[in-house]
Amino acid sequence: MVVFVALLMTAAVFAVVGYPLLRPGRGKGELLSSDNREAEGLLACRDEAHAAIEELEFEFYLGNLSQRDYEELRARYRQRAEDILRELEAIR
Amino acid sequence: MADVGYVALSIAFVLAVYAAIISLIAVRSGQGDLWLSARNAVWAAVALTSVASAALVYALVTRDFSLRYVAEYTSRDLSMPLTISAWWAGQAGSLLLWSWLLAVFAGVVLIQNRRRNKELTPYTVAVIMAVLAFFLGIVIFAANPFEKLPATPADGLGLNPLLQNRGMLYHPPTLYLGYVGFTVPYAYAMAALMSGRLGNEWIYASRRWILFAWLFLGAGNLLGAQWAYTVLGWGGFWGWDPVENASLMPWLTGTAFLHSVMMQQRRGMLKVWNLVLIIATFGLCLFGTAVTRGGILSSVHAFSTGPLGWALVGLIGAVLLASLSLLWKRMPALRSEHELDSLVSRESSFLFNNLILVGAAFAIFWGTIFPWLSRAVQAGSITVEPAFYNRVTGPIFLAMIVLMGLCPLIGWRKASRENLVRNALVPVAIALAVAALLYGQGIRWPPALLAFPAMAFVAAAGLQEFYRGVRVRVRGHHDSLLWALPRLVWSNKPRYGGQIVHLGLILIAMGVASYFMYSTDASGVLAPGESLSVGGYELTFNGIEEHSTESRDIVAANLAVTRDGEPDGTIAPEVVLFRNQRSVLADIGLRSGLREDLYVILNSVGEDGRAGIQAFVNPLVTWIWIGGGVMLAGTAIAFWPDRRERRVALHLPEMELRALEASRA
Repeated sequence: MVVFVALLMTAAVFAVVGYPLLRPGRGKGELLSSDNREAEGLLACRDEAHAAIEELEFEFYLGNLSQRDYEELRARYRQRAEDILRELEAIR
Repeated sequence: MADVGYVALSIAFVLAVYAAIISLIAVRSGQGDLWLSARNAVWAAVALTSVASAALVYALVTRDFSLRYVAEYTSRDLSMPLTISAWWAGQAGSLLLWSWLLAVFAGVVLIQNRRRNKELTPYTVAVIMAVLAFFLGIVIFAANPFEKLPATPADGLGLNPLLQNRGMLYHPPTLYLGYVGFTVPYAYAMAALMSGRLGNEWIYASRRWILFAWLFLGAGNLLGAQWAYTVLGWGGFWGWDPVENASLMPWLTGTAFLHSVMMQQRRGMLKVWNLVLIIATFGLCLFGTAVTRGGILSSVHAFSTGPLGWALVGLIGAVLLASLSLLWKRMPALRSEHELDSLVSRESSFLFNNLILVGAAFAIFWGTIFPWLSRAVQAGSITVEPAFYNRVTGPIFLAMIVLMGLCPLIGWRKASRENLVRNALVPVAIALAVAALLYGQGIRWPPALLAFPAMAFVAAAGLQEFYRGVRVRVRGHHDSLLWALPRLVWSNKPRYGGQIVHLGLILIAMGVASYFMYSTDASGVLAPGESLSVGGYELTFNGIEEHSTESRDIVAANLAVTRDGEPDGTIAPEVVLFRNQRSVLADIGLRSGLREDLYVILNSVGEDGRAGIQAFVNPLVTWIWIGGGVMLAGTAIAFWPDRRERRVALHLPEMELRALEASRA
């Protein structure tokens, strides 16, 4: 009984693990190409810059940032977001 | 069924090795089909470790005493919930639990990353499966829960009496969820180092795992403290035992990590430090497992001994060596994008907070391993007393509390003087008022006059943060006063969830400080009719009561309680004899309240009918458990998916990348 169950489990594992190798082509697009890798990094940076601007505005309204620091930092983050958008456009 | 469990474990071990190697080959060579095969291997490992776990639970509930593990940790008279909890009572079972949890976590990582983090995920899975292979290897070759006895006994030895209470049902699994959970953020960090994607993606991808592991480790510590308080019967909840220390240290470094990642996310700073912290946290989780389940240090909580602990120490060495080598290799690409603009800024307060937390963890680590080191270099062992830890960590934790209050008052980058003064005015005034109040009440002890006002400062700073946020929402978003608070919290869950966690920590600190500073106790051997006075209570001994259950003989001391001269019911501490294990355990009498706990231990019963009684009055201890609940609520809010996080983490790789591909075509 145990031997039968062990053989059954082994056969099932071979089938599950081996299936993608026996039917090649199904894994296309499952890993990033080098172009997409670059774009994915830029998209992440763009969203980080947007999140930073939102956080900055909230800190300013809470009174944790002076007007001068707020304007300087906001300008810096906006510039960063714009640079990223330009780079994304260049890839397109 | 037990044989099926062992076969399932053996196949799962091969699958874990396969998935670890093939994931790496797939991502390095860009072969998607190989990656699919590795993913399927992960799912097969999840299924097979589940089969093995089910087989062990089945053996436990059917009381299959032909298995050594079942015979050593259960008996016929053990209740069903405690019988199931025997899964994690011994070394072999708990290592199987470790493996099963890790396999399930690997499956969750695959589900979470179906459409994102396509480059990080194969590396992450490779690391998780390598760790899983190690643990499965131990379970198969050295700590097999399915090992059979030469002859089947009629009954088992039963569970250690110390473990026979409901704390056993939830404390060890909670702690394990924390220990095992930290494997995932560690794996993401290693994935970042191996892939060279050294930005913030690994932090976004692992953020919820960090919170998950941190929450369960913290909850596990608190539940352990509660267990020690109600079961070990020495009047306290934290004895600086190696097992307690082992679970506190990764929580401290994990807390440091949770704060320092914010500096990386916002300012691109501390990239190397964050990686070091997560490596250290995972290493300390393995150390905790080695102490608890490997018995490398002697402890009242370490329920296993043997050479396996040293295998885990070997794993810690391998993890540190491999991780730090990778980190060294990537060091040039991990430079900070900015530098500290000012010492008075939120960045520097986070930095100090990190130094304090890591300093505390280091002091505790040193105290924990010192007896072992001293034994290694000389004949005897030098014991590190709890007083050492209290002296060293007391000031460190006080500084941490003050920083916890200062942090939300200071802006990022550089705090202007007028902002700082305006923000700190109310919290400082409240702290001074509390100090004056305590002084007026006759309290003169400097640590109390420092600690409680510091806590009031933090609580006031935290509540002020909510007040000002609500004001911004009412003015800026025209929210009604009723909805402004929930909307504020929901609009920035990580920030306000974190603030709620801070308030919970203050409640815990208040309970801990009150206990250490103002707990009182008294003891005596009482004849019937005699009394003992402690902290406003008078306990009058009425006599001994005895009764028996199926497996226990119970002796209780009946004590009438009066509080400030008024009758206040009775309390009955017990001594329980576990007949099967032939061991005796004190079962305390406990009356908990928001103001204080009355805690009574029956130490001895004389043949002349006299009873040795020890009584404690522990102020504000209940607030430690309430604070734990508040922390849990705050972490749950921070854990909840956030609008910003969702946008950043999901950053539409599928849709946007398809659009990019289409535009290129």
